[in-house]
Amino acid sequence: MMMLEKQEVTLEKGLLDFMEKWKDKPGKEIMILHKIQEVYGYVPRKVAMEVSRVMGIPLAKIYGIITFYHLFKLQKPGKNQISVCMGTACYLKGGNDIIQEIEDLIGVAVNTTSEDGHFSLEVVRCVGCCGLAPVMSINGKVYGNVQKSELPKILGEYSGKEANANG
Amino acid sequence: MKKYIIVWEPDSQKGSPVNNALLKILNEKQLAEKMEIIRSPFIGFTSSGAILRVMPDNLIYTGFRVEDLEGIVNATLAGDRVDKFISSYDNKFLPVEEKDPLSRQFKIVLRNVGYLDPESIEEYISRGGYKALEKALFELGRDGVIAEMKASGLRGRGGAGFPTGLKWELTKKEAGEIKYAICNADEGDPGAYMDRAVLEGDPHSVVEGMIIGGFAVGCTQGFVYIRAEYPLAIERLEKALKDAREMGLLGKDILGSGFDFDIELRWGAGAFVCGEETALIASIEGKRGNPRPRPPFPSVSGLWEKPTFINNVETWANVPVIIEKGGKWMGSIGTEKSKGTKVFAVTGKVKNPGLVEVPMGTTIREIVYDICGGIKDNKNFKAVQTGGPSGGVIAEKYLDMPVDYESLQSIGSIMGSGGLIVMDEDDCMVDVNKFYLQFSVDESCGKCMPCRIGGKQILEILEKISKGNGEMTDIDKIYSISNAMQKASLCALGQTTPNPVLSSLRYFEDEYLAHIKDKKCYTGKCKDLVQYTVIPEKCIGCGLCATRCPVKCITGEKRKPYLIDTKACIKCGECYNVCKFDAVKRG
Amino acid sequence: MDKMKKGDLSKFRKEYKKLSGSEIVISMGTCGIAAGGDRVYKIIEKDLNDNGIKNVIIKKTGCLGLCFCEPNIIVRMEGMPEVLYGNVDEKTAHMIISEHVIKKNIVNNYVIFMPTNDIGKNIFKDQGR
Ligand SMILES: Cc1cc2nc3c(=O)[nH]c(=O)nc-3n(C[C@H](O)[C@H](O)[C@H](O)COP(=O)(O)O)c2cc1C
Ligand code: SF4
Ligand code: SF4
Ligand code: SF4
Ligand code: FES
Repeated sequence: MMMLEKQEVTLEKGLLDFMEKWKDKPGKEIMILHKIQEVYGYVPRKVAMEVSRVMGIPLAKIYGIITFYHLFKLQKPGKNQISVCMGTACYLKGGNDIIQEIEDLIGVAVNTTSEDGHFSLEVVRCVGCCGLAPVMSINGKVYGNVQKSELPKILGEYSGKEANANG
Repeated sequence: MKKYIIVWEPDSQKGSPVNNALLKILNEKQLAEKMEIIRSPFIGFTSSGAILRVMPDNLIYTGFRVEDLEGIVNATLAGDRVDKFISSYDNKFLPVEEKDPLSRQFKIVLRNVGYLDPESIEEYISRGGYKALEKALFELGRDGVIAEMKASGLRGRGGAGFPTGLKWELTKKEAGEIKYAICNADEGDPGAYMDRAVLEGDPHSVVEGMIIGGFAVGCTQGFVYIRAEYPLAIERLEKALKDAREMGLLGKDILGSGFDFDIELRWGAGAFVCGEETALIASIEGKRGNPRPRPPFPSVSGLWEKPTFINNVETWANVPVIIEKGGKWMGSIGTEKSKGTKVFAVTGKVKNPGLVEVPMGTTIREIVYDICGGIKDNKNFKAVQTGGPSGGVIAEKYLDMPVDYESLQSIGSIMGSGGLIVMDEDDCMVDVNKFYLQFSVDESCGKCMPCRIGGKQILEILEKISKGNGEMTDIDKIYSISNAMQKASLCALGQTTPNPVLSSLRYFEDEYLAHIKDKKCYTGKCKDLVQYTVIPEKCIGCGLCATRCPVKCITGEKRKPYLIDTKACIKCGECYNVCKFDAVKRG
Repeated sequence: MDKMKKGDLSKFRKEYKKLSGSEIVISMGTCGIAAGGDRVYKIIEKDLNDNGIKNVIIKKTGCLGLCFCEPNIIVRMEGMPEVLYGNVDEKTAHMIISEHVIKKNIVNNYVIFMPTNDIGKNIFKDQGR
């Protein structure tokens, strides 16, 4: 993940292979952006430019897509990404309180990253575990029936650790 | 074989009298070798009294007294039964031979979910999987498949309820060599997860359905448009496709029939509007997911301008069963205009949240109370919401309304995709609708004015009301903006954005009025309109509230009434919830 | 695997035999995993191994719909009724092996009343297990 900053625009091998596989398929743009985000954690500007050049997709089109779809990020997220669900079920069961408690605990507001780059916090709409509401996930691992009192313990598991690769 | 008696007793029945009586009988008769008593803390449906299940005989007893237990034990040992206590749940919507006496559920879509290994195509086949495909290819032919689909009366489960057989027929009739089949797995309704459960639990049922649909309509390529938020579903679906391809069930020359069909996945990227079919098509094409006007309908000009038909995950999962058992069989389940079953994700303030599949025509009361155990923590029911941000509320007086497309529409809600959210006395209608409106505003694609601006205006009015600044004219404004949005929005997102507010105004207008006229929110959800105070006559001075208050604004002396500093209070409601003497007033 | 042709499916079904009559089925959809289903899976896998039990297979499945008592496990042992356990924590997972599988005693207090044959009801009666 950190490699990129040093190597600037040399695209990661997995991404290049993916681009090769998809290059002739119509409608490839969104799938390629997903791959970029999987590799880098967000869509770095330089990567977007390089992909645009290699694939011949206008940069404006790429940015048009990124800004339309909520899932694509233009900012580098924290090492550990906390996503709190605010779908209907979680909203009714106190998702708001969970967000506030996390904000208080680690001093990160929604859609921002902590100063040390360790955590970022975002709100998502339903991860499909509504029966376990309220739900949150950290680096893709889902926690259900979250109680405010458990949060220090859950977050504690991630402080000091590097993010999982699959983040 | 040893007999097992599984006992469930309601919490209200203190001291487990039934369980203890059974253990005593076992002890006295020295039956430990022959019989075992198992206590069960969970029950999949509601019961007012204790209930027994005898295994392996699989008998269910209800309505007995403790004195009757000895008779039941004796009968069980003798391999007999005590008829008068045998329970029978009567499920009036099932054809007789399929009647399940033990519950009100009936599983067609979820037939394999939670039962077989979703990563094993062998298991799927061994349970009769791909039999329908074989029947379609070699017995029914293309017209035969469509005839069965039409006979089944199946209507789309993604929300709109369009007859599936007819949609297939229309697409089949279109001229042109290239046509596409699409599975809509974008499941955007927040608070619903039926499709995820099917894709994760039985991906082959969707794959088989799509192959059959592709065959009937004459496609060679299908796409599944799936939420990127469902990584496990994606993984299992990819595996299912690969296994099906290896076995010759997908790809070239399927089962040697000469029919070619393949399926690819395309991921969504977190835009609710992409569940709308024209937006979905744009998204698969790799564009921004803006809806476009219809006509032309996708059946005429869809993906890459080719005739295209789109069905929801649950719709597809019904297909193999219809083809195998026949359209007539499916047509015998459900109500006159709504056939088959519907899967609901029941969530919110319900005791046993979960997925249920019931025949159409089952009542909301049966779903919420009989299957899901009623309201959590013995609170009072307020409403259920179906159809999510495009749907509406169902008030208590309609609890006995049967679920089918027309009935729900007649009371201002919709069937929707299957999210069923239960709200209790603590939920405020103004607050909940602020949530739905905020959702729709966030998800509006911004292409057309009524939706982009109207949604925002309604949201602002609701915010104003919830802050205590509402005026009576605001209600009229909501109606007129809603009217404009319903008439002039380009796609169903904008047209349906006002639905939740309108339906809550229809049944809970008094709550809005309390906010506007009395400046009160009796649930405490609108924090500007609530105050917490201690009722001195009731407070015994235990001090619990003071220790729990997060901002320490409650003071007092033990055994004397405590006092809340209303200026410092952040209205979290903790004191109200913890006081055991109802001494904290909310209002 | 060779590609199948017409008629091969029904042959396959006839030949497809279970490795064993006994199995433990763990509900592992996203929600089951979130509730701890993966931890339970690992414990059961290890306990079966440690005890040298080979004739009980362990299997993943999707969401049973009983979100209120995830993780759920179905245990089917030959000669015993099918049992569905709910809220299975680590301790119960160990007990399911030591008590239910080895000693053939059903573990009290974790059984879900709801009959399992209702949950996985096979509407194709003639082809099921
Ligand atoms: C804003 C919006 C969101 C929608 N979201 C979904 C969805 O998440 N899943 C779905 O199957 N259908 C969704 N639909 C309905 C689809 O447009 C379409 O009617 C459906 O996929 C057709 O399949 P069916 O006939 O099987 O229901 C949505 C419609 C609108 C207007
Ligand atoms: S109604 Fe809303 S979502 Fe639909 S096209 Fe118009 S702005 Fe976009
Ligand atoms: S918890 Fe109730 S009774 Fe106890 S001090 Fe507070 S208000 Fe009084
Ligand atoms: S509502 Fe919350 S902040 Fe206010 S007095 Fe009660 S506990 Fe304290
Ligand atoms: S609403 Fe939170 S997981 Fe669905």
